[in-house]
Amino acid sequence: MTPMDEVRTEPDEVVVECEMEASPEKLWRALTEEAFLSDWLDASPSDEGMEGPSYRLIEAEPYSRVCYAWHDPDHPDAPPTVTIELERLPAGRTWFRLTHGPVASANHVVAANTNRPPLAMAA
Amino acid sequence: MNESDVFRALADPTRRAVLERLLDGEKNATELREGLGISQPAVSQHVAVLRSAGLIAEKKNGRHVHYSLAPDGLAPVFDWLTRYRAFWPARVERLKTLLKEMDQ
Repeated sequence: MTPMDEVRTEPDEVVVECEMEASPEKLWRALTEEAFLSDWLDASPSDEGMEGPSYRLIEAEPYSRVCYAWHDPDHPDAPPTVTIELERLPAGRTWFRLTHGPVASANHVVAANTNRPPLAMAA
Repeated sequence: MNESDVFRALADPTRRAVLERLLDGEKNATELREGLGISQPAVSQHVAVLRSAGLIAEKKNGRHVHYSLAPDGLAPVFDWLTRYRAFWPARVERLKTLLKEMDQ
């Protein structure tokens, strides 16, 4: 992780945000083609891997948003959704935001009206 | 208490607000309700869910009930957070490397 990366945590959400030196189109391939996913994601396509986490692509809006159903056998009841949002930046760069959290995340509402440190960090 | 109950309890923003209020220390039902903008019965319902998930403890003091955070209540969540707070930044680093290796 470089100092540029921002990692935020709510009690049931992990967020990683950073700028990528790649276009949304290039990122899109890395996020949706299985050969690339198997390289960086360190998880198996659903139903194949018996050990370790598995993913299934459930939502894909070209160049802006992908959503994976996530299953980790060590944490079967943990938040099941990984969402990646892409935002085009000048000069062929992309703002990248990964959120691992509950399905219908209301976290941003909470985050917007509290200045407290995240619960999990403070408790 | 199990991991599923804890995550379900945390999924509700009001219940998270209740827990946050208890970070400052124990509170009675009236103090807990202040600033939440919901009725006392609604607070009681949320408190019941949080209690059954093992996230808050209650202590009776005469006619008053005081609520506090249960010390180990968030342990299942910490296990998950510990894993994924390390996992995702490492994956994103690998993705950056992959992007450099990919053809345009």
